Amino acid sequence: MTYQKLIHDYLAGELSQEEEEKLFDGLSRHAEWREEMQLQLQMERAMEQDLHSVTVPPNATGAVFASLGFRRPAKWSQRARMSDHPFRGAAIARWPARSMILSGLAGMMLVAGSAYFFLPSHEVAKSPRAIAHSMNVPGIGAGKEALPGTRGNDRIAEHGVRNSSMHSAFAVRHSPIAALPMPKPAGIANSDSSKAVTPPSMPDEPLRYYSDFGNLYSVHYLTPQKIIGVSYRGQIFISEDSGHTWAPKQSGVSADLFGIHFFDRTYGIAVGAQGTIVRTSDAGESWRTVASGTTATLSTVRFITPDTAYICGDAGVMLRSTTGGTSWELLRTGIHANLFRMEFRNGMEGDVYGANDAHIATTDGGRTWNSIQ
Amino acid sequence: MKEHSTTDQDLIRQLRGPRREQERAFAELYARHAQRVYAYILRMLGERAASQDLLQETFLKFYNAARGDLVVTNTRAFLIMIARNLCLNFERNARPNVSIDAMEFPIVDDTVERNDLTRILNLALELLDFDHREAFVLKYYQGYSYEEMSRMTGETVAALRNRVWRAKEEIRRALKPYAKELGITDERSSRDDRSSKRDDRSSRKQP
Repeated sequence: MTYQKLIHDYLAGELSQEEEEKLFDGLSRHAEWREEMQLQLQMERAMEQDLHSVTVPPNATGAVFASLGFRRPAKWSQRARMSDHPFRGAAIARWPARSMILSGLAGMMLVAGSAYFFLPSHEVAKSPRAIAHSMNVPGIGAGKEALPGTRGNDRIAEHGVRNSSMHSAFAVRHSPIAALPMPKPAGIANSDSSKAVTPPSMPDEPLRYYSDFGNLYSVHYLTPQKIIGVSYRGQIFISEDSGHTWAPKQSGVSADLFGIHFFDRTYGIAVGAQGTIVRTSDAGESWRTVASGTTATLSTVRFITPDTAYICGDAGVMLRSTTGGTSWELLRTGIHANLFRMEFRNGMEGDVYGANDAHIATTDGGRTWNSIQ
Repeated sequence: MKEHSTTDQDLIRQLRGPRREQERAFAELYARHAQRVYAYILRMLGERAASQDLLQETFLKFYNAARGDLVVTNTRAFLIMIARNLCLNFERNARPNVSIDAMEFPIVDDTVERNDLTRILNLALELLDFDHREAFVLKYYQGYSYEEMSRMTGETVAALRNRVWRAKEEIRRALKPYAKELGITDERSSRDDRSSKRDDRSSRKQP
């Protein structure tokens, strides 16, 4: 028996007395035996620590409960940061002409008419499988059916249709960013439409992967070809070819960026962790930091007019700018839920949605907010 | 009786009850076992996204099974067994099958720190074939006895012992180049070796 095996068996408590004596004798004489003992002990210690260091991501817990149609217990909901929300980043993007982007921490593919929207996991789970099938979307199923062209562990994780409208979302869980070329969006209805529509069929072309820079949390289409995405650690990427290739840009910040929105093709704002706000006036080529007055994580930013923009974030934080994003004021929302979706009809009237079914509305540009039950 | 003193078996029975009771029972069972199950899957697959998918599938299958007539005596082991089968299927579909003898460990870096040990360990783990990785994970990451492992996998205790040792050998082989950077080198190394050899010689000379 080798001394390595002797040590292994000793640590497993499986040595005879005679073998133990042989081991101790060897340990007292040979440095390499002691090194081996140290190595094996450290391995065991590291593995034990590793077991305790693993935590279940809140979005995974959410998915488990959603798949059973159960509400996630409050203690997990509260613990979950917005950045873990599987649908973070859903409230983004105009409909691209020929491509769509998969983005998000857990992977989020937005397939929507005109609108950004938020589909809570439990609503996704409730939506019957039959809806997807009746929508005749090839490759889309309720659970784990493969999307043509995917690879590895890419699956359709969730899908749903909200309130029988044609809001549809397909979440794809995967690590790398992938751009999925799509046929033209003919037949995709906007959020107001009640007429039947035909969702896009999935392409035969394989997904293209851009795994070098991890996940995009949000993307914004400046044109059908030019897309700007934000990612962790302040990373900003621009694609000029509908997501086929990407170039990194300096944001000047190191915080994770979660939301991005442009008023036009040149002027935009990105927001993220630790109250980070950066703005660009040259279509994302360069970025400057703007003071937010908060350290809360900021999730989503929306321009309403060239001057007026809103940001929502964790702990009920809402910010408003009436200076085109160069300065921001903190609004009193009266709630502490993490907010991540905004729908403003104009500069004064809007609804904001957040965790734990939080829903607040304003009719006076954010001066006062009413909680909507 | 406090909720946390309710046994797993009681909770599983409640999974067959009214919806509200089911939700509570499932949440409690999930709180008790999800972390260990997820840790098992994560170490078996090494991929977070896939691990999260399989965690979901595991609990879904568990819920469906537990709502039937199935008698579950060891909930965690049962969950691990479900997760194991899912991991096995995932491996069959997704991974190339590399023999443990054909493995080549990539060079991670020239310099590593002590806290990199876990990273190298996990990297080495991913390169083991399913059987060896599973035996190693169940033994060291999950702390099961060989007898328990045998019941879970259907393999003999002897086979599992052998797999654990072979897996450990391979992982040791991957770690060895970093022993010095990881602070595992014995300071007295050569000095002690020389003196022990002298001791050997002198002791042999003694009558």
